[in-house]
Amino acid sequence: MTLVSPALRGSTIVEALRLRAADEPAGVAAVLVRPDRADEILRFSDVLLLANHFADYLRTLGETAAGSSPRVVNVCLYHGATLHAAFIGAMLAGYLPSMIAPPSPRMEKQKYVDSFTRMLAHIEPAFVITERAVIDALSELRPNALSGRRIVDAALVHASFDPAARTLADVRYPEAHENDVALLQHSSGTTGLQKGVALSHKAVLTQIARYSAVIELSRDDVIASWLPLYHDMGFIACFIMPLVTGVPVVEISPFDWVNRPQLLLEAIERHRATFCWLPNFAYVFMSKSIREGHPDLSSIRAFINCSEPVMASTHRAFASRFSVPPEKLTACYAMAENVFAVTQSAMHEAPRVDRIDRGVFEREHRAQPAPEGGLEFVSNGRPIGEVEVTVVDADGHVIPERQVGEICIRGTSLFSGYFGRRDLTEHAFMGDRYKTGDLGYLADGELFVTGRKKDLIVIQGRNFYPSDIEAEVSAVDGVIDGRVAAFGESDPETGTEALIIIAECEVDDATARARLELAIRKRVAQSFDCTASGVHLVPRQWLIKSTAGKVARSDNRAKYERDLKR
Amino acid sequence: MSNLIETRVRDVVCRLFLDGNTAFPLDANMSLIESGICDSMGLVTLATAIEKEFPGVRIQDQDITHEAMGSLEAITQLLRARGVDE
Repeated sequence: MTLVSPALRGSTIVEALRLRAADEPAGVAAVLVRPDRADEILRFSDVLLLANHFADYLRTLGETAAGSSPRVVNVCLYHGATLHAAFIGAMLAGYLPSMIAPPSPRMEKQKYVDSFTRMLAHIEPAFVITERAVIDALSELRPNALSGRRIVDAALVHASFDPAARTLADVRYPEAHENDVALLQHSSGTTGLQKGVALSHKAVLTQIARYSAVIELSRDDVIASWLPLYHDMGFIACFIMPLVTGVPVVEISPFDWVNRPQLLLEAIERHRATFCWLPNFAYVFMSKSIREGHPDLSSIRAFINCSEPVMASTHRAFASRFSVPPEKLTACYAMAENVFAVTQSAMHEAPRVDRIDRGVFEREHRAQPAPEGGLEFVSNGRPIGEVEVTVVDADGHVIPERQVGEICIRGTSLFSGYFGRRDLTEHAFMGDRYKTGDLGYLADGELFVTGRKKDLIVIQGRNFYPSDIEAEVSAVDGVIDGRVAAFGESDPETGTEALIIIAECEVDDATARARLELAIRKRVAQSFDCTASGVHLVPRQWLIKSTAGKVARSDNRAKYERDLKR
Repeated sequence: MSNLIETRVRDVVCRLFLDGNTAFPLDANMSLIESGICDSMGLVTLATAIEKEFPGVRIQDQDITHEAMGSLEAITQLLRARGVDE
């Protein structure tokens, strides 16, 4: 078994690509798995040549463009060879690529176009490389958004590619320095789009070297993934890391997986995959939805649970349903601001489950061991490499182990800042420590995440800002403007958070109220591709507002638990 | 045309996702997913509840999809194909 970490070469991502092209161009980059079709193998050389074609296309346009100062290229595509090539091509052409979510089948076209237009306004990309369907929807619904913008139809560029026209020797690599920003990671929503996480080549490659060493990633490994690439877990663990280390990825579209979850386990069995990153809900979803058969998952070295709180009950159910040894179910704490992983539980060991006293936890914010019952938290393991994790109190003072406070991190994989938003960047740091907004405690050097200080809802590994959801619901006809609260509530049945919406209205008639609830549900589904678990219509003045006039979410959550929760 | 199977399916959907309130104007061909009534995880719960409501019926994994179970009408058709009578 040859570990990839000592063999990592190159001080920039483009240099790592150039070295890989020289060393082993014919290696498998990805295997695309689609329902009812034969698997498609993408070799690194094929991807790189197509990427170079995209780069040539952008260079041609760029050279003729006057005054195109923004350097970001947004890549908004469904899974496939074009997605890989467009992203790498943008980097080869010297731009900062950033993945953006393509439309989901559930989102209303108008809603998607609105959010896409907001994205253009916030990010001001030099180019957007996207699907024909997105361009058509924009032309139809927001033609002004296209004027002066450089929107590239990826399929047209791909169609003009002649694999025989160029060789790997023709691929041009841009000049880059290790401290230059290499790429951006964006999360969705009005708020998320303003926070493009800028990552340098050095931060990305340092993270990959350290993380791959911790998980003992080797040249014999195969990663299996259904994760979207516009989210850090899919993007770093299942796209950038394999790209620079030469480890192949077996890749399934998230849309295909959610409708046919067995595709992933069948692909693991067929390709003898060894690593698989999943958010907690995915374990529950597969345990419950795959009711027939026993896929052979013995090739797996580790499933890695990441992106939302890890539940011990989830691991127990998954281990039991699919006969996976508990020591193969590991946990990781990660965020885009640190490229990806902050901590990782040990390989070959089941992560420790800490059982603590609920009363002491709630009253004193302390994790006091209580073997009999109480609360249980799963360890996310120790910090990777030289990442330093501290827990601080409200005044920013570091607090002892087992005291709950805000998790802060420091290290060389930290982001360079939110792109073009110095104000947000300054707010996110305390000296050289990044304040994660997550709450947790350390015990024997291991990190346990217990909750969140920031107002963020994490559903199925995806982040939602309550203010975005509240604004949409507020605009539904019949809801009193500005009188909406949205928050997440942990739900062990689904392994993720349930979205709870409380909206004030002055509607009494039962049928009219049912119609209004449906209208709210539909608006949330079509705007965010997310399902509200509970929609509660309450009378005017039910919601508590702060003295500043804002909906006080924690107070309203407590009132909900007391008065509305069934 | 309303029918008994569809009414029973509607009751199950309302019980599971809409707090048992049958006042909801659910059209037979309305997408449960796109209307925000449930998601893929909800379809799994729905499949189990439908099997309880119609004893002897087994919904196969391959049928727990947006196409085969995405609306009251689709579920009614699936149940008819599984031999459930009015």
